[in-house]
Amino acid sequence: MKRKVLIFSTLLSSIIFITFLNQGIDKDSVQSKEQNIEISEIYGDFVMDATKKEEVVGNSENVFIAKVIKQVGTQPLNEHMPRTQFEVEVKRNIKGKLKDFIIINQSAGFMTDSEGNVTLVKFENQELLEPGKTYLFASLYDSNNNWHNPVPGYGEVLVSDDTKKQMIDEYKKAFKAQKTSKIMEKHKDKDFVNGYIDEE
Amino acid sequence: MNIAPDTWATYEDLTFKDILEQSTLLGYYQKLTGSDIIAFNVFNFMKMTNDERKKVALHEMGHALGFGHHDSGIMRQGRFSMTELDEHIKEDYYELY
Ligand SMILES: [Zn+2]
Repeated sequence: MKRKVLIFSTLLSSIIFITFLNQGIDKDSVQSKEQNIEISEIYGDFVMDATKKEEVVGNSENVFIAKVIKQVGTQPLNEHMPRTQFEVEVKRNIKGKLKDFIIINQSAGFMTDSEGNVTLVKFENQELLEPGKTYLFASLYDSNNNWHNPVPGYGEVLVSDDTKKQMIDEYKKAFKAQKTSKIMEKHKDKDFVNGYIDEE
Repeated sequence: MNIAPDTWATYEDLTFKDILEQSTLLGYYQKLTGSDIIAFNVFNFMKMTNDERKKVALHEMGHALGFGHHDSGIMRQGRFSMTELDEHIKEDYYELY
């Protein structure tokens, strides 16, 4: 509780400080030109340096190549945070073991407000997954929903026939040199050494 | 984020939220037409020290003010030792505001 109060008071004093220092800055809301859909970009931060493959692999339970079959759901995280669920076919496991068809819960999707305005929420410039395309996923297993949460952007990388072999090699190498964050190691129900193995 | 002192009492510029998701995400900044949102992922915050939480909170505030990622300091992605404002963000601050 004390900690919460401390965090809150730190933030509050920063906001007050900043409010006094600023005269007002224009909002530059991003508007898509082709369609009348507003785009809201998320700037996310992770337990790791997500630009390093050893850390992405080390902090994921599964790393695998899969082909997107179809969109199967749009169950949001909350009112501002749409999520889109896709059925994917696992083609090759690099870390952990997943079988055949699983659900990927992507941190992106459309939301509609009370006035009918549609906003596409996405992680920086990461596009929605496309059925028929193949991706490298690095994810955590969410047992409550029985789906897999990929690292936004860095754990949902488009794979082409040309890049596939090289990418598999790179991530296999990264698995051998994987680094797990101390925060993730505290999630005792997860195995970051060997990854999540679907026994069924 | 739009900071408007003359209307701050009636117009909310920034909202703080908690999310709970089994992911590697610590927090995020979301730019919206109304009030911008900073969210913290309780799944990982439960496992963090006070200093680590404070660093993430400062970092996300940095994004809300328009700062991007740096190779060092508080706007470095995924590193936890910093809890004070560093030189990089101070320079950026004077440049932007
Ligand atoms: Zn950041």
